[in-house]
Amino acid sequence: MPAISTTATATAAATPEVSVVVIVYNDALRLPAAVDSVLRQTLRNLEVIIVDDHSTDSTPKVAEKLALDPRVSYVRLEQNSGGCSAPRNAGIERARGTYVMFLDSDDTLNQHACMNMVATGDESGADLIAGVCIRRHINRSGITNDVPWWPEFFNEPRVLESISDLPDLLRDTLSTNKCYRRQFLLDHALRFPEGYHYEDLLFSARAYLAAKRIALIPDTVYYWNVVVRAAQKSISNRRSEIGNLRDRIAIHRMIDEDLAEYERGGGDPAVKLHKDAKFIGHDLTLYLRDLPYQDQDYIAECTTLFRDYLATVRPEAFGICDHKVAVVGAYLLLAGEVATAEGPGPDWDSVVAVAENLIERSRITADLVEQDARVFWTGRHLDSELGREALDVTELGWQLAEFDRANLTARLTGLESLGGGRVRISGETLNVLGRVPADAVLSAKLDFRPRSRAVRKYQVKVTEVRHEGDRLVWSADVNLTKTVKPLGLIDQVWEVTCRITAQEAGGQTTGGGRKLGTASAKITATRLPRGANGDGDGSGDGKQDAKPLTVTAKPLLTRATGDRWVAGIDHRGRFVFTLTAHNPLARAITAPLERAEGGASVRLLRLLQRTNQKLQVLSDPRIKRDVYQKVLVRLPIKRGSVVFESHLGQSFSDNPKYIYQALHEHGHKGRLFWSYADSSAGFPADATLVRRDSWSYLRALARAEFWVDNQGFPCTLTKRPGTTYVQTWHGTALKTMGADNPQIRAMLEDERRRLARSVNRFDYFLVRSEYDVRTLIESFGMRAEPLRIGYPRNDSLLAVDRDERGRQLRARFGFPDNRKVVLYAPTFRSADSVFEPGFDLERFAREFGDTHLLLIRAHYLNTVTVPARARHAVLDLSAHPDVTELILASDALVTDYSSVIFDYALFDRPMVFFAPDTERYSQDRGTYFDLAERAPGQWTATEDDLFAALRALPDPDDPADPYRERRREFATEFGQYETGAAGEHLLGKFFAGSQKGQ
Amino acid sequence: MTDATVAEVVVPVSGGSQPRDVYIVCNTIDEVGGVQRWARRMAELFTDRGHRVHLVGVFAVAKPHDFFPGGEQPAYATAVLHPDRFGAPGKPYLVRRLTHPAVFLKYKRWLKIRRVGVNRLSALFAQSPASGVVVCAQIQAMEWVAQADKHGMPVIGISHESYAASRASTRYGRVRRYYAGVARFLSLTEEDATAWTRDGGMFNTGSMPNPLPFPAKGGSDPAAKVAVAVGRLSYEKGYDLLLDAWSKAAAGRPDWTLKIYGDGPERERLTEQAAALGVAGSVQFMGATNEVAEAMNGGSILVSASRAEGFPMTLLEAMACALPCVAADCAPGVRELVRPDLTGYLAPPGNTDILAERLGRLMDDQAARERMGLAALSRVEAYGPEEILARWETVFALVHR
Repeated sequence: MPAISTTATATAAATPEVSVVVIVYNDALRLPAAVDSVLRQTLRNLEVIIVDDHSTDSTPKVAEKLALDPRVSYVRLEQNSGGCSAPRNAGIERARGTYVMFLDSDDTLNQHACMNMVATGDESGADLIAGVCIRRHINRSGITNDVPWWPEFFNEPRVLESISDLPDLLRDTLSTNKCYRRQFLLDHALRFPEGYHYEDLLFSARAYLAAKRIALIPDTVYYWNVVVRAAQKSISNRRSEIGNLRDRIAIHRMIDEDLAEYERGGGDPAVKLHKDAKFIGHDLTLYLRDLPYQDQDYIAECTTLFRDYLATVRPEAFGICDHKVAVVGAYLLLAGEVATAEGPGPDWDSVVAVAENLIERSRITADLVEQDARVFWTGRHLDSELGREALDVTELGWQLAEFDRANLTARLTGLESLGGGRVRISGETLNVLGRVPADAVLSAKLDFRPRSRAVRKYQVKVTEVRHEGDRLVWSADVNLTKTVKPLGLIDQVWEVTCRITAQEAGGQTTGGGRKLGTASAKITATRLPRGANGDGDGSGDGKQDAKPLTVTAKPLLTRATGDRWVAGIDHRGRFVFTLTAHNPLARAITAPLERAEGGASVRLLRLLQRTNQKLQVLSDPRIKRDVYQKVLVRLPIKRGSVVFESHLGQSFSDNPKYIYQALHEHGHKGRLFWSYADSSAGFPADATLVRRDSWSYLRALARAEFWVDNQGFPCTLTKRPGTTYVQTWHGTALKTMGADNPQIRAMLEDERRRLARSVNRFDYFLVRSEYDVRTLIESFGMRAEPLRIGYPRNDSLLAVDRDERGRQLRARFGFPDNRKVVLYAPTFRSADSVFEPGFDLERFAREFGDTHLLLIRAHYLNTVTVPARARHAVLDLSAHPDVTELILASDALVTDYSSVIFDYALFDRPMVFFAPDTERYSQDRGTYFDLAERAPGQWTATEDDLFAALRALPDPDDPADPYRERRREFATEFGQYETGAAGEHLLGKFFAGSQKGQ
Repeated sequence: MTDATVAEVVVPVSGGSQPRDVYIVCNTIDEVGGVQRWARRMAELFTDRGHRVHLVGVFAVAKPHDFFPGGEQPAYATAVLHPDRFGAPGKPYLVRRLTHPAVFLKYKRWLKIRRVGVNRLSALFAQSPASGVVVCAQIQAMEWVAQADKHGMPVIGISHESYAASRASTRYGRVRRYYAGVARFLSLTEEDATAWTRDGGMFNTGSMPNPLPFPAKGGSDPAAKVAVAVGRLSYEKGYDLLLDAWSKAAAGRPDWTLKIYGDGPERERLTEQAAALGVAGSVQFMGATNEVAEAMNGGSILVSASRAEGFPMTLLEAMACALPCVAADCAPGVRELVRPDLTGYLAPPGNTDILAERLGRLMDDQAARERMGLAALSRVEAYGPEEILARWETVFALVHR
């Protein structure tokens, strides 16, 4: 241990509760803030020990000044140790407190940290207390972004009797978000290992293993400040970091020795298993990510180091690590032939695929192999049991991804300059598991788009695209200079995306085959291909480090902002063209923007960013509400203007859509507005589209003569007396509503009043039957006048030409002619989850694939995955906004408690009920009547019963249909006012005489 | 949710009971609200323990309640910072400042008056050594406490409602702003404290339940066919839901009665509702009472259909009388006391069908009533005044470390 020289001042007589060891090296600027954060703790009886690792700047002066406070002492090491270990150990030696904590000079503690640690330590008797660390990223403009470190361990206060209660906690290797009982450190001689990097890993592991009790608290204790430097341009060269890797592995070997001793002493073997899994899932991936982008020597040594270490890892760890792709990489490094100093081995491509996926997790990068209904990363090593387990990636679900929704890797294979600004870009896109059949018709385009705000984009048709083995190979000639015109300054880096459209070859029935859609992926590469060098000289000498391809550029802001395109690979492995400056004028202009700090232009940029942040206050909803109430509602009403909204702006659908269409046809004189929540795609182009909660939305509502929607406009907006609010609602209710709903009954006065105010804005309310009047209008206590005309959206279900409409819709959707179309529309289950059908889709496809077609229409908040083998008989149409169209195109309905039954009954086609979880459903909310008793169709609860019912589906109008009467009674009771003329009635009541020209 | 219950807290041996100056600051102290009664009770308990207590109110009350009608003086000191004002004008929001300049000026004048009150508070604080402690019982009073010179005394902030209730009101933002820096911020239950930390970003949280108002001695008879409900007859306490549930549970159990103790604005409406439901014969409105223990000892089940609770004193009192409870699960405080199958049953808030079913189950099973009643009694021991005071001592010691 190096000798230490001290300038200690007299410290308080009482034993401090906590000793905070602040380590510093050449950080005079930030040290005061760190120490200040400790002196301002709510816990006052503590001491600060500043340990200076022999700084050479003004740190000693600053520290001595801070040490004038009686609670602060200052220690200076005789020589620089180059790490954190020696300073921290010196701090432990000098500490007098009951507890010890560590703080780096550029970080801060939360003001309650020490009191929380001490209170928890006293209550639990723990040796080690850990809290939440927040990583605070500070960018050049001073804007911070807080990310918690391992939050999942700190959701609830928790006391562990030992690390084996939660072995995953080993992942939290920080020593700074923790508080240690000093006696515990002394008893077990716990110190930081000197002369190593990653000393925290060893210290933490030893502490966890030795601790008699560990307490976890949900409080934030530590702020780890990270200054985000200038954006990375390319993947960094790790050549000089091989030493770091050796250190990391050496530390892990030391930890393994400690673990072996721990197990010999009766410790739980699961701890080592979790540590091994963590190594694979975390430590290994740090190096695997950019391994293919390094040079051969580094790759060879890295591979050897990992292979040797992974040989000591327990094979079960491969099974419990949940980072599947990392497990693949680990196995290949351990048992495969990846690379030597001479060059890559047969498993190299698979490792490259692992790295590419680690960089961008959504990319499908490997040539998957299917065997025995399981999917593997590669076809090699499947004869070994561990290989089969490690390379099994079925759970990733890549085999289920649709062609147009999968991010299939597009790799660059060729890049050459053809002279005159023209380049030939060639590449290949993965055709995973033969998703695109060999005879499919292909076409492709290349998109050139800047990485930052996409102001402009350019498309170039790809001249050649074809199948080649298991790849789709393409090649395009582009005149880069003339075709791609950047603005200059703000769009310097341009990415290239390859979009391939595939369609199955001419199908058995009409027209072309099924459209598989368009897959698009950003082109990636580990290196620029041979031939990508020089401007037009095409020397092709194949040297990897040759000058990258350069082509003249003509930005719109003239050559003063840049004049060359340079091909390259960015830090995420993507193939990019960067606009660079070659001529002196351009260099002078763009240079300040490149610099990390300083310069008036950069300060201006930061000021703009901070101002932009502050201006966000204008979107404050309270201000919007105030301005609406005080100013906007006093504006004159615009005659004839109508604002439509459906499902809070989610889609263009339901009753408002049909009313709008009728109005539009009618030639209504007056502005028609449609509200959208996220995207205006799918909304009619001839209406004025306004985004929900935007200023134009508020203006439109304030001045509208009519409000028409099916759920409720924002409840903070009052309705003027001059506006008529027609509430069309979205369906007859089976679940209890209003005062019959326990959740509403449990509301407190002000919430209840708010609901009443919101609902009393309705002037008219569409109903289909007296049942609706009772369950909707009366239960909510609405004052609205019931409009007993039925729903405009159901008019087409009762129209004379509905069969013809149905046929047209089927053709439009592309359904095969000879199949019975069954609409499966279950009710909403739980939000944001994958919808589980409750019966086996693959079995359905097997038994009914030739004769039936199943349309799944789940709630828009649920996602549906249709397995590949069922795709010819099952379609997911949950994204289709208009259910009425799906009803018209169908022959039968399968559902459980969805309110679609009330509408489908009008259609008078067979209904089958499939409700496997009746009890759980009725527990939560309650229904107005027992559907099972009154169901207008067969009630099934098991898959076999459902399939039997489907087999026995009668044709429409079959007089032998046992449920025909029931269905008609059901339709009459719940749709007594439906005549098929709801739209007409509505127009007549409110909009007669409003046509243009009157 | 952790299973750490109140009884498992380890009270450190060191610390003892050093007499301190304790300031309890509320918005008002002369009216009979929940917070005021709590404050006065705690003031008495602390004084009995040997501390010097000052009960401070910020505003006066139009009709002050006389807490000592017999003419006795309280054992603790009291003070009011603004004896001539009953409240503060609201702070006008951004747009209002421009559209209503008069309101804005009035508010500016008020700030000067507030400063006078702050100085009075500082003067009160100046009387005490630094070993004293300031307990701020209401968030509005914290505006004065924050600005006053506390002479080194730490502040403990209290919340008397569940996290969810604060979250849904303007108090949420104010708590996060004014209580963020106080030494400890105490909620009613551990669950609420964790919610404040995890979702509310408060890192100084702890929990402190309310003490039992009378000793836990049991006394109820499990054989009695009487269900008891106690509390103010307000909308919040959900008596309309209770009557609904009762009408379902009492059907087929004609020898059972429901006795409702308490009074309030909903009395008439509830009487009408009972008649309309046809249960006027089995429901008795007993009116308000001061003898809560006696009232509860007349029954064998306590039932509550509250829409909202902070720390449900009624349940606590019932358990002290060895009554099993059937309650709507509307707050963490309810969950902490009523453990399903152990000390009673829970039902989802607002769901009268399930509440009726659970109540009926208990009405049919006397052995269960007896078993649960005894379990309730033992559970409630951790909330006795001595135990709660010991917890306060730990907190006092902690904020001085």
